[in-house]
Amino acid sequence: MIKGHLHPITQFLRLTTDFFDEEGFEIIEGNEIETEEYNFDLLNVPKDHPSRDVQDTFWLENGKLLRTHTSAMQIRAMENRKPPVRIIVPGRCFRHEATDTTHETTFYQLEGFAIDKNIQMSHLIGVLESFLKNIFGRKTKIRIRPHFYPFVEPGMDVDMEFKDKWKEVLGSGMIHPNVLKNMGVDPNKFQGFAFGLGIDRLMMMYFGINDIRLSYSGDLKLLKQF
Amino acid sequence: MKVIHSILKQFIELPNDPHKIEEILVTLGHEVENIEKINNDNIVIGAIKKISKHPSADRLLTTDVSIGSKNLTVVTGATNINVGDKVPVAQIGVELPNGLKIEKRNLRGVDSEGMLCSGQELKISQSAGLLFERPRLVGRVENSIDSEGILILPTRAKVGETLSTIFPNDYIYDLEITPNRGDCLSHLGIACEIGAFINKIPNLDLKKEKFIPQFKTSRKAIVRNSILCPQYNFIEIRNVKISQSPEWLKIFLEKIGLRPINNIVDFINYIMFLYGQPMHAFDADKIHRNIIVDTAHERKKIETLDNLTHKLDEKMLMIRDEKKALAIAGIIGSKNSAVSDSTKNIILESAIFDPISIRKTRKKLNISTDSSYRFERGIDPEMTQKIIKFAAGFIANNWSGKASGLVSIGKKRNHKKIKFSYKKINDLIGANYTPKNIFKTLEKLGINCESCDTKKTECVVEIPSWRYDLNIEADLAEEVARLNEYKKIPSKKMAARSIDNSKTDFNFIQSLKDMLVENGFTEILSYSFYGKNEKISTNKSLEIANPISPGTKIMRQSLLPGALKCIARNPEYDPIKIFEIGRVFGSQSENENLIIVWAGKGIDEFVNNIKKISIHQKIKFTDAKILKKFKIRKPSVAYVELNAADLKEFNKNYTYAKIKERKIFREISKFQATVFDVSLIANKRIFPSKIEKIISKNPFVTNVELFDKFSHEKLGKENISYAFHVTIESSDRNLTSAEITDISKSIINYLAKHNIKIRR
Repeated sequence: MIKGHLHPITQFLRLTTDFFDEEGFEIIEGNEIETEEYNFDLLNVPKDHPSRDVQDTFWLENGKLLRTHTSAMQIRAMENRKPPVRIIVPGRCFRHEATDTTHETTFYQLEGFAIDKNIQMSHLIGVLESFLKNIFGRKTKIRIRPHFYPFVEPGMDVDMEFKDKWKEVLGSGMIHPNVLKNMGVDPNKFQGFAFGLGIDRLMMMYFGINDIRLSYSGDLKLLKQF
Repeated sequence: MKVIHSILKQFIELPNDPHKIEEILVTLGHEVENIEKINNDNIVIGAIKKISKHPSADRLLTTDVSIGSKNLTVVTGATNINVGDKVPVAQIGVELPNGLKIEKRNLRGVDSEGMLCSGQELKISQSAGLLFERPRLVGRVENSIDSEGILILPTRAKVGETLSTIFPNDYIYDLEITPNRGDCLSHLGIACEIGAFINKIPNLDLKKEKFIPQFKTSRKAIVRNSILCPQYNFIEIRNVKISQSPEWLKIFLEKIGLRPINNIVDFINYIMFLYGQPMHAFDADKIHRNIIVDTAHERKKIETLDNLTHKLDEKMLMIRDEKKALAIAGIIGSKNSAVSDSTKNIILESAIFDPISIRKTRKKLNISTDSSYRFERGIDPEMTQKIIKFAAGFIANNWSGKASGLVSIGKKRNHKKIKFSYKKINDLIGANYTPKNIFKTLEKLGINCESCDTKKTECVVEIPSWRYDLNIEADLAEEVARLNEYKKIPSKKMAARSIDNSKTDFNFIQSLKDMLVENGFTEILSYSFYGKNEKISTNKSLEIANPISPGTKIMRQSLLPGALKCIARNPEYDPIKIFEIGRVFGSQSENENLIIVWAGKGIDEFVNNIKKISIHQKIKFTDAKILKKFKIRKPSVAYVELNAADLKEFNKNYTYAKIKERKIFREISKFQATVFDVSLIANKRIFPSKIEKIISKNPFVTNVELFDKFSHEKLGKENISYAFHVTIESSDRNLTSAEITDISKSIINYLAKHNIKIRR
């Protein structure tokens, strides 16, 4: 029997989930349609703050929205869990953006977070460096720089060197105390980190694909290469 | 937001290397999208010695230009030059900022040895040409040489020297500032950030423009809503000379990306980009007595500077007089109170408006200005009065005018206080910052210690008025970590932990995918939305309120349309065997579906295989109407679509394969591919994968797929027969049938060299 082909996004996602599975992260998934409350408000992104403008949202006629990030599952996951936790959430997300070779309305993210008594930013840096080197090789050059996301503080972006340029591959940081409180976790007793990997962009760098839209085009000339 | 290197230098002593500046900014958390260099070193100052009419072109002139060491003949289409003018000359080999490379050119029979440059070509304010001696005449252009007028330099320009002696080299940094740092939306803010990192204190000497009030104005400011407007200041300036802005101001605006208007409006913009405080100027004679700050009455209309009329509601803050609207507070002014060439007296306004109110108003009215952008992100209330006095002093001193005293309403706000512990900061980051380090770092940012407990474990600090983003201990931790550089934070391994994900839905889906791939199906992913034309189900659908286009408005109710689009898109493959697992949406529901589709040859095989996988679902055949709608040429498409979870009872073992091979993508050609079949006989010791490699050696081959294999006595005991689909294509053209024949012959010959024969 001649074999078929697994989508490159599925293949790359598996590499990612396998890594975090070995680090002890539980895999859960959430809905693609979310409420404003879980996607923004409970993550410390109030309606009247300019940071809302950063993520352009698809709104549905019933008042709900298409999730702009997998972070929406952070709160839901903690509704029936208590720390310590390590969780990853792979899933499809949506942003109302003009599409081009590196931007799409539809894309995959992998959310990850860990909450415990003594989780520190240095652990976040450690696990992300370890992940990128594991997938892309030990010599991979990585750069960490401050960035702002309302749901983490301190906030951090990670760039990876690709073809002599720094490419942003993920956003992360220490979970904001307001978000911990919304999770029912006491920020005086527990700390946590959270990160969001852009699976499409990483996948493109891994396989050498140069147009993000190809993944959703149904072009068998692409898919049969994998 | 653009910041100019030469302006930053006025605030603080900077390293000269722009890449060092970039590095510092990125380390501090400010993205540098682009650095533009204004390079005036490679342009030389020339003097026009002689101008003659071009012998064979009416619209061209031939000039004799001295650049000191020699004279050049330069042909130009501009007509604003006179003998004796000093002009910028780009010699052969020079590349202009717009990318144009100067070459020796023969223009209508005359060799031109360079180019006389306009301000626009050099990215120097085009209108800067107006400031020196004479008004500019519009030049006539031929073949786009010398567009606009030539930049006439001041008489002090020295022939033979570089243009950078008149217009220094500069760098423009295009920064992406995060929404929490309103204080960084100015040169002062960026200078303070850099200063904190390189241990230098910015020079903020506003006293150099002395503000001397000459009279007391009878006009009052009446603030009816002190919550939406916590501070309001104005100064009246009489007998101001309105004119074109001076050279330095026009160049500044050009670099920032703004259009010059007049000296007052331009200067206010300059102040905003330098110090961060937006201001507004009104024509004082258009204001009837007092200035009132109040929310609008329902349906109040105002025609603003952008030539639009806006309808305000009762929540929106306005600036008005007793009779009419003067501005949408903090956002944009009215057209009829604007400063124009005929204005004699102005009112300068400097205020603080509530960020949330500004945001709500400008979103509702769909306006966004540099001013509203800053108010939304937070202005330093302790700079507001200092800035207006500085601005009024400057205007009065440089453009004549008598300034009134400052009229001010508003209360001073107390500074925020945050308590933190050294231990907690280190515990959060995972570093070992000493108390001394933490103290000094915060001090460099203007965050001063108010009090500490006796053991110095906990401190209370006072937050400066310009930092709207610092509110909790974690915010202070970030300041300490970023000033000490994130890259210096140690990297630690988390404690080992094991987890059993084997029973998760994720694992189940992965194992399902593997099973389908084993059975010859290829996974596709399609978009989650489509348009009316693709909707097949008649059930009520869920729609997007703000779709990108009508064709992406409906949330998919089935995976079928996506699969059909895929089939239509790939006519060269037969059969097409695909599957997709993804979410589908009802008006109130979200489910994960699986669809398995077979299009083209061998549908019976599909039906039998489905029975093997034991799906009780019926196989459906798409009807001809739908095939036509989706432009599918293949005669039949069969599919099974079901809720993926329904398969759980048949697949209890959720194991799936690890990905072992890292394939490298090969660019897809836009041109047509051809697929042909080739049947071979090879010795059974040769693996099919080796045969694939041999066929793939041909540069036009993009895919080789084994689809049949058998052995028979007739072929010989040692031999096996294989059949392959071979896809060939070119990346730059459609292959002709002659070429296709040649390619297949070449493949066959190459196989023969490896003792692999074609089966007749």
